[in-house]
Amino acid sequence: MHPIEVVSLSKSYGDFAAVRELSFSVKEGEILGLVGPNGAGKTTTLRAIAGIHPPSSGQIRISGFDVREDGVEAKRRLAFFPDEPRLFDYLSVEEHLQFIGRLYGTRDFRAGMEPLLAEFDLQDKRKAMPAELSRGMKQKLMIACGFLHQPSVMIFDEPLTGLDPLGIRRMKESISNRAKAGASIILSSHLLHLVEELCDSVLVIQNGASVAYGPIEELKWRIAQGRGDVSLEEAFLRITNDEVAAK
Amino acid sequence: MTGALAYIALVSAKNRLLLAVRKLRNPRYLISAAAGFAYFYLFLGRGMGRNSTQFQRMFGTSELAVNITAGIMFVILVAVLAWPSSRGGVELSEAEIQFLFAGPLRRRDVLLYKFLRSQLQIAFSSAIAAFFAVRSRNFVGMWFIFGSLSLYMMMMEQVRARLRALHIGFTVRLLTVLAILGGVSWMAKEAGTFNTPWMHALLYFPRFFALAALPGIPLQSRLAAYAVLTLFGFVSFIVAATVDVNFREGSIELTQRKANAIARSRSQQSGQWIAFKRLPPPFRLAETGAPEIAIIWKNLIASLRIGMMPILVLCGGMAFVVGESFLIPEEAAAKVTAMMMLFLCALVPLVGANAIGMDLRLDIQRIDALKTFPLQGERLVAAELAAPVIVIGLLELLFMTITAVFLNTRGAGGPFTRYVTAQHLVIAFIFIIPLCAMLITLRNAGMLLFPAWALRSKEEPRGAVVVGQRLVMAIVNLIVLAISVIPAAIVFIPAFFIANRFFAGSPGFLAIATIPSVAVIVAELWLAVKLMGSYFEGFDATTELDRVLS
Repeated sequence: MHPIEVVSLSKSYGDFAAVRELSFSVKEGEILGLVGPNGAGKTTTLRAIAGIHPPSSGQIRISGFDVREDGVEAKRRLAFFPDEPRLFDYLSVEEHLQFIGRLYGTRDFRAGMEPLLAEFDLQDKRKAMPAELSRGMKQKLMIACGFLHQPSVMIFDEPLTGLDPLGIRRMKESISNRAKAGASIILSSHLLHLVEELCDSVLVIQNGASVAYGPIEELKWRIAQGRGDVSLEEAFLRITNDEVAAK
Repeated sequence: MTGALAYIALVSAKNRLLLAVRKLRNPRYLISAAAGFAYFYLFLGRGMGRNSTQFQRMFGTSELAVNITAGIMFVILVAVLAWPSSRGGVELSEAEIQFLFAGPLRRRDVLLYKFLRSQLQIAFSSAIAAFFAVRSRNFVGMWFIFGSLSLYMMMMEQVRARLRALHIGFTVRLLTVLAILGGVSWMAKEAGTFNTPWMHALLYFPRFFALAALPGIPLQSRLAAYAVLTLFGFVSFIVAATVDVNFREGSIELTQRKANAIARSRSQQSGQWIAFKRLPPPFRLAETGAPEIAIIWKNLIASLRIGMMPILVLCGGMAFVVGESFLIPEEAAAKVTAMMMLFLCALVPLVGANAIGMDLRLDIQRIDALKTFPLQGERLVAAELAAPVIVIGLLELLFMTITAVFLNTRGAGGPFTRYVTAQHLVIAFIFIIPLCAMLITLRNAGMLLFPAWALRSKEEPRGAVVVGQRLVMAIVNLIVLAISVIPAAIVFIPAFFIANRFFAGSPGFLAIATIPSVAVIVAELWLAVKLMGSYFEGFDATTELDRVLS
């Protein structure tokens, strides 16, 4: 049993199928890159895994708990980081962390806050309100909130948006360190070099369906057969273009 | 170039219209639009139509009616000079600024575009005015009036900007307008009548507005009025296009101000407008215990930082009443004070349920975040509702205590005093809190069931549709509230008789008679929270809301 297991996930809005029969799993300590063109269904997939919207069919299990049947236990082990940080405008940085700490039943959350504030350069901003933070700072706060309860499953949707170069480097280190500590991570991004650098495996989706899935090196090797080495970006373009051409 | 601009304006108008019509295919929009129109018709249209008929009966199409309308138009035309805005330019959207000002367009092209673009709005306003004011008899006349006035306003914005460049500011303009209007009034007073040659000369042009609008005007006069208004609009347009002002800078400034106003209004609605940022949390959040406390803690902070203003207004009202009772010691005044205090006590649950909305009504914007919290739907809903109930409950307790102390110590209550005992106070309190919780629950249920009505974007239907939505919600709230108290009322009757039979004269009499009814309301609340929780768990923001929350 893997910490993240998705079996035949489908999600429709009326007649429109946003995600179709998607199946994959993520092992302990593995980072899976979720890539696809705009409107492919990446965010819909991530939101379904996070329990934000119910899937039309299929199963999602987080650490063995079905997201639909046992949502509370599944969510306790999960942290979802959306692309747009949506914070509570009336809570300060410190209060956000306290709120999340208590909500997730984190032991000694006040002590646990300090290293996170340091890791994300938020020590001087602990009393600041979200309106006083830059977009990058908001992003960091949201990620600090997610890390506070030490989830075993993490879902990142475009985690580097709005960060400065130092922030990007630190964020990459943070994600990588969490994976090394045993967290299972899904990372959705259009930055394919980031996916290539951080992820162990990749799932390429197009029009809501999986078009390629497996370890990155294996995928690249498959694409590159007889045509020399390729980058993930090139592999991605060939895969998605082949799909379009096939249609 | 003009053709392209006309095309954009027409296509935009067509798309806006289609969007509005398409929205009406959704039953909730259709019902609310119908309710809105019915409301306008029944409460405004019918009354105004009757007034216009009375007006017609009184004045017919007499010279007096024309002169009154012309006089009003004269005042409007002159008063526009004193309007504070003097930036110059025209108000556009940010996208329009980006495209139009980056393109090879002259000022007159932009003005023409603005005029063409406003035609749908002018047509709508004309239709409404014609329908309600003069019973749809003169839509074309209304269109001519609104169209020419919009060009006049456009011109006057540039004229005011030019005057500002010549160091003629708002004060001078205001004084000029006051001098003109005051002078005209004084001259009329001196003459003892408005029926003088110079007054006719002053009202000569504004009369054409009257001739274009009033019913019963001969066709020839009406057509002449249309021609004059067209010429007036044309001249206004030419002046607006040629006055020496910094048109682009003015337009950008006007657009920015409008965008800021919209942003401010949205942030107030979404709770981003925080009046008391630095107020500390009401209590220290313990590191262990029920997670629901975290939600209550968060919402209490929101109540203090965002919702403090209505609390202060209510407390200010009570402080005023108390203070006034010390300053005016007469017995009659004390009775009035007692009435006012009781009125404020009754007002707190009603006003509070609306004004202290730091629950799902505030958090609906962040419903995606809420859905990731490790809490069952019903527990989350209950925690969300708790904070406003606590705040309103504390406020009510404070008000009732002050009132009780006043009535008992100042001897002002008269007939009220015998009911203001500790026993009555406790009973009133335990009855009011569940009722208040019911009011808050109903408002939150409305938010959860009809989130698209609560989260409207600028592009979504407004006017009659929005009035209709509010009306439907208010009516549904009232009906559900009335239905929900019926079982409690039914239970109260036998409970009262039983209590009277066995506990008459006992201090526990009222509590025994009331508590079964309160229990019924609490049971209803429990059921409502369970249903709302279950609904929340299945809630899909993407399909429920007409736009995606990112």
